[in-house]
Formats: sequence, C-alpha cells, structure tokens
Amino acid sequence: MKEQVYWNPKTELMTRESLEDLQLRKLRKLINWSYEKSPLWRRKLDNVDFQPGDIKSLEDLKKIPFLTRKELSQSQLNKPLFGDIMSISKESALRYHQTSGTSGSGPLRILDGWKDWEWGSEMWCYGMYAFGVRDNDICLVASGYGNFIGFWLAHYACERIGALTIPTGGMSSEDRINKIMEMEVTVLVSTPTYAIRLAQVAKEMGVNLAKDSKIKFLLHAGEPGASIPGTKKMLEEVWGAKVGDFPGMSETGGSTCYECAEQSGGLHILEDHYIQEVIDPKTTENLSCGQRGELVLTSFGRGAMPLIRYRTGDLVERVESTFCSCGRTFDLYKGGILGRADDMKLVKGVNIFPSAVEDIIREFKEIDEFQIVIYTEKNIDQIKVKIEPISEFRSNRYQELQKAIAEKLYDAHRLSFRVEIVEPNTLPRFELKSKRLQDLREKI
Amino acid sequence: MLSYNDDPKLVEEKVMQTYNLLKELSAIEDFPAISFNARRALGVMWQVTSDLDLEFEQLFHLKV
Repeated sequence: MKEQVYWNPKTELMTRESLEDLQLRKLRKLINWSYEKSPLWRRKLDNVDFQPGDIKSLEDLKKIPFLTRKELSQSQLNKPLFGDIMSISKESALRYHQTSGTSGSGPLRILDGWKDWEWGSEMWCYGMYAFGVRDNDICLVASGYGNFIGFWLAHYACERIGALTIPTGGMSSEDRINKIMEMEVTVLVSTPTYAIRLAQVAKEMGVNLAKDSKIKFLLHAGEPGASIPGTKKMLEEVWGAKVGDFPGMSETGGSTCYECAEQSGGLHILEDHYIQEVIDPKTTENLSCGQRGELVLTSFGRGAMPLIRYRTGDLVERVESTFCSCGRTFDLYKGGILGRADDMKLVKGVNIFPSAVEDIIREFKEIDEFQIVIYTEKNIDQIKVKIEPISEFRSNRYQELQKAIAEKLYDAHRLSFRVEIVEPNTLPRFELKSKRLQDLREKI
Repeated sequence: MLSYNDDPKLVEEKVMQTYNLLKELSAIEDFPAISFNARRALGVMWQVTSDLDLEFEQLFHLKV
C-alpha cells in the first residue's frame, strides 16, 4: 500500500475556491443552529439585526460581533453553571471539562456531546499524521488528565491513528522516564516545559535520552515553546527527536493548527474545520497575510458550545500555503503562536514578550531554568532574569555567562536586563504550563 | 478492494450509507446495546462525513 502523507487529502489539497465554498456551507449551517439553539447567539445576532439568512458570502461573517472570553465568563457568572451560550442541556452532553484558568479570568466550564468530543481528537489526527505518527508508534501521554482538556484529545488521537498509547496520569517523572525506556516509546506528548523537566530528571537518573531512548517525535501543545526556535533546538538536542507544535485551546476543543513533517517554520491552519481570521487587536480590522495580529476563530466542530468569531488573544502572522513545500493548500502561521496579546509587558516603553526572552535564554546550553521578574525600583520599572545554570557549570564562569546573556537581551530589545545567577535547583519546575514571568508591579 | 483514489464517488456513497444506517440504529429505543454503541460509532462517522464535506449537521437529538 502506498504510504499516505495526508490525513485527509480531500481537503488538505483542496483549491482555495473549493475550501472557501466548503467553509461557506458549514458557516451557514452553524449560524442557523446557533441562532435557533443558543440564547447568547440569538441575543447577539438580534442586537445587530442579523438573521441567519444574511450569510451570503464569507465576507458576511464580519458583520457578526466578536465573542470574548470575558463575555463567556460573565455569561457563566450570570447564569450558572454554563451560561447561556450552550445549545444543549447538560443532560444531553457527554463530557465535562474546564479551562486551565491561566488566562486570569478563572476556569471556564465546557460541555461536549459525542461528535464534538470525537471531533477534538480528529483535529489532533491531522497534525499527528502530518508529522509522521503511524500505527506502529508507541505514544506516551505525559499528562495528569483530570478536568483540563489538555492531552485527553491527543490521547484519543494516538489511539485513532492506531498507535499503542500509554496513559501516565499520576506517574512521577522518574516513572515516566522508566516507562519510556522499558516500552521503547517513540512519541512523547506533553507541554514543552514538561519535556524539558523530563530531560532534567533523565539526566539525574543517568539516562541519555538522545542516545538511549527510541523517542523520535515530541508532540507539544499548551504553550508556545515548540515554535520558539531556541527552545525547539534545545529539545531536539536533548531528546534527539523532531519537535512539533500543535496548538489548541479548551474553548475550541481541538487543535487549531499543526506542524507537518516538512517543518517549514509555520503551522498549517485547519481551514476545513475553522474559519480563522487575523485582526488588529486595537482597531479590530481584519488584517492581510504577512501582518501580525490577534487570532479570531469560528469553529465548525463545537455544536454544544457554538464558537463564532472568538477572540483568542493569541498573536499570529498568517502566510500563504506556498510558505511550506508539503503540498497542503492550508495557509500557515509563520512562527506558530507568537505570544498572547495579554502576555506582552511594557517596561520603560519597550514591548517585552516572554517568548522572545525565552528564545534568547535557550540559546545558552549552560542554563537549566530561568525566571523573568519585572519590578519597580525608585519608581522606575526594571526587568531581571534569574538564571539557574546546570550543576556542572563552574561558579568561576558565572560572571562571563551573566555578561553574555545581558548583551544578547540588550541587543534584541535595546533595553538593559539585570541578570542574576542563582544556585542550581532553586527555581520552580513545572509539570504542565510554566509560570516563568513574575510581574511584581501589579501587586503594588 | 475499495480504493478512494480509484473511485471516490463509490467510497463516499458507502460512507453516507453507513452514516445513515448508524443514525437509524442510534434512534432505537428498546435495545441499549445497539443504540448506545451506534451513537458512539455515529460520533466517529460524523468526522468522516464532515472531513469529506458530505454532510455537516448537528446530531444532539440522537444524543450524539
């Protein structure tokens, strides 16, 4: 049998015209359904005097107001437990999840029915298959499972592809390393932060993952690390594996874009299952390819909780499909998710993105862990990076390292960063999403 | 053996036949082992009809 490269060649290779035609037909049905069944959507559409029949072209989507996270949270506060966006009752649902709450507005409750739930893992399949995961792989899912939707969907996608799937909820990092070696695991699914942590633990156990393990793919989600060049390179080296980025969010249910085996530096947009717009976060005007802006999603997969023009807060730069040579006609996000609009910090008039700082820090192989601290000193904002070197790094070279990092950070930002070296094993480690930025100014 | 590349229309017809059959089985009210397993299968089959752009509908009335 000829080896297939695409999970769904019918749409992954579709012409732009056919793709937009497909999107329009799905959009009409989604708007009809949402207007009929979701009180929130009926209200929002009535407020702008928009009827489902008004969708004549994809351009008409722009007449529909945005949906925000704040709106969803408020709706759940006003009408516990699920707000008025749901199109079904909780008795008709199959699955309950909630967001991780890292965006600061508290967890959001989410319900899915059978097809919505299966759809979430189907979205992961596009990416996993494109990256090279096959039915002879052995996948270890390093997740605590629980309420956070995180890697549940990835788990079911591994199974759907036919790979032997190992759930490791409740296992320690040491146990997971042992399982990776014992079972000859070929694919690790985790956050990038946790893959770094596992590599540290493996080293302490005397295991050389790049040499001794069978891992060939690291599949990452939950954080932008796998698209941060410095972090990606570091992970590739310590694991001796290809590192792929598969972003998604609990609100959307599944992956929204994925990295293919060509690793062009961009992530393919799942255009047959979403309409993904990029807007200027300030003016809300739609942006063209090549312009950086906020990602706005309309999902065709979530029927229970219709998600139309949802402002994700994620920053992206869309480029045309020719950016990648894999043959897919789906456009891409160059550099993946570039950060979150609300992650950006302003220090002495300079925009600081934690992911850009991380990219520089990860260039230094001597660094094991780091933390960014923003604070005020004599009424002036300051930024400091705490650096924890690897245990083998000699203290007589600390000053040299400090200087090199400070110079690189200055060159990239034209802003002075203080660099403080701390003793090994003093900074916090993370098993899910990292919290490496502390903005102490907000507490004053 | 069926091949999508050789005869996409035939394969897509079979997908739709299976999908519609699962809808019928999902609606059976007096035999849980049939309807509940059919519903799960229908949730999966919906992915195929949606992926192939054959059918895109909500199935909550069937508890799917």
